[in-house]
Amino acid sequence: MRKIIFVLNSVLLIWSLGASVQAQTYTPVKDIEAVKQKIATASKNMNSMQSNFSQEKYMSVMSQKIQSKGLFYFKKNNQVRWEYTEPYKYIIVLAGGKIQIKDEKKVSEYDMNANKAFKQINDMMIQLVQGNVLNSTSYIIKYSESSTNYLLDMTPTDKKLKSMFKNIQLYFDKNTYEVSSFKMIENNGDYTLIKFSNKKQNVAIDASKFVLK
Amino acid sequence: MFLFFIAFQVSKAQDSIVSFFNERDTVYLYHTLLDVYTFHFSGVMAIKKLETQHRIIFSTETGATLFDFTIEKNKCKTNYIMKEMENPIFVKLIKTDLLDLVQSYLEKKNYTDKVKVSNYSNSNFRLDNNGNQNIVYISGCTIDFINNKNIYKTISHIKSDENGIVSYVINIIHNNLPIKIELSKFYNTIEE
Repeated sequence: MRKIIFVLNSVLLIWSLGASVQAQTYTPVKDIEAVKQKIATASKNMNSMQSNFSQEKYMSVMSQKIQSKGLFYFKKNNQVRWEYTEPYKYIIVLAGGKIQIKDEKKVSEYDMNANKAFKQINDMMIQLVQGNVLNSTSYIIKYSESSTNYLLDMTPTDKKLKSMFKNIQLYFDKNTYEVSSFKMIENNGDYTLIKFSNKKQNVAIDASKFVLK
Repeated sequence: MFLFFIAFQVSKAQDSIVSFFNERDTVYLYHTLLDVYTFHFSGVMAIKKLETQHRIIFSTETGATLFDFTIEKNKCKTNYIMKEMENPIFVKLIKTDLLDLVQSYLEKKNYTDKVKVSNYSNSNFRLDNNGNQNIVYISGCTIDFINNKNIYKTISHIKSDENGIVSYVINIIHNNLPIKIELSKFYNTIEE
C-alpha cells in the first residue's frame, strides 16, 4: 500500500511539473529562422539519448488519466528502447527493422515492415524525440516561446497523420534546444503527453540495450 | 496447501465468471498483445462498462489510439480505427473476439432457460450464442466456443481478484486460426 501511495505521489509530482510547463504563457517567436537553425544543430548533434520519461494518457471516456513512467534510450539510426517500469514492467525495442516486446513472461518479436501502423507511429516518434521535424512537409508548424521553452505547434497536413492526430505540440528547452516533452492530441481530443527528465545526450549506450532476450 | 489454494481460486471464479467487465462505469485496463494472422500489435486496452454498452479503446504503449469500438446488444460499432488496421478480415475477427470477451453472458440467470444439451458432461451450463449455432461451454475460468462438437475458441480467465470480477490475465486462443490475444492487468481498476 505504501508503495502504491509512493508511486501515485511520484506520478502526481511529475504530472504537476508537466502541467506547469504547459501552463506557461507563450508568445509567437520573432526570429523563427534563428530558432530553427539552433534546433536543427542540436538535433544533428544528437547521436544518442538516455532519459527518464513520464507518460500521461487522457481519454474522454475516463475521468482519470493513465499514468506510466520508465526509461528511454535512443541511438542513431533509429534504435529505440522504451522501458516501462510503472505501473507495469515491460520493454519495447525498435531496432534493425524489428519490434521486440518483453513483458514479465516472454519476449515477442515482429517484423516492423509487416506492421505499417507501428512503423508509422515509431517513425513519427523518433522524429519528435530528435526534434527532426523542422523541414517536414507533413505539418504546418507554428513557433511560440515562453521564458523557458520553445513550443512547436504542429498541425498535420499528411493524410495519414491527419487521420490520427489533430495536432502535436513539441516543447524544446530554451537553453539546450533539445526536446523536453511532446503532446500528441487526437482528433477526438484525447491526448498523450510524454515528458523527459534527467536527459543524458551522446552517452555510450551498450548495443545490448537494443536486443531483448 | 498449494492445491487447496488453486481449488479455492477456481471455486471463487466459478461463482462469478459471468460478471467480468460488468461493473458499470468501471474502466478495466490491460496490457495487450494481439496476434491476428499477420497483424501483430501490443498496447494498452481500456474496457469501460457503461449502462448498456462497453467501450473498448486500444492504444499503443506510447499512446496512439489504434482502434475505438462500442459494443452494444451483440453489435460492435467502430468509432475510430487507424487506416493501417482497416483490413476487413482483421476487423471482423477482432470485433467478434472482443464481443465474446465482454459479452460473455453478463447475467447467468438470463440464460439458464437457453441451456442446450451437448456431449460435455462437466459443464456448469451451456447456451446458444445469441441465435447462432455455436455452443458456449463455461467451466471454472474457461469459456469454450464449440461448433460441431469441436472447440474452435477458448477464452481463459487466469487469476481473478477476491471478488471474482477482475481477471489478472486473459487469453483468447483460436484452435483453427492463427489468432491469439493476451491481456494482462495493467493498472488498478478505475471506478469512475
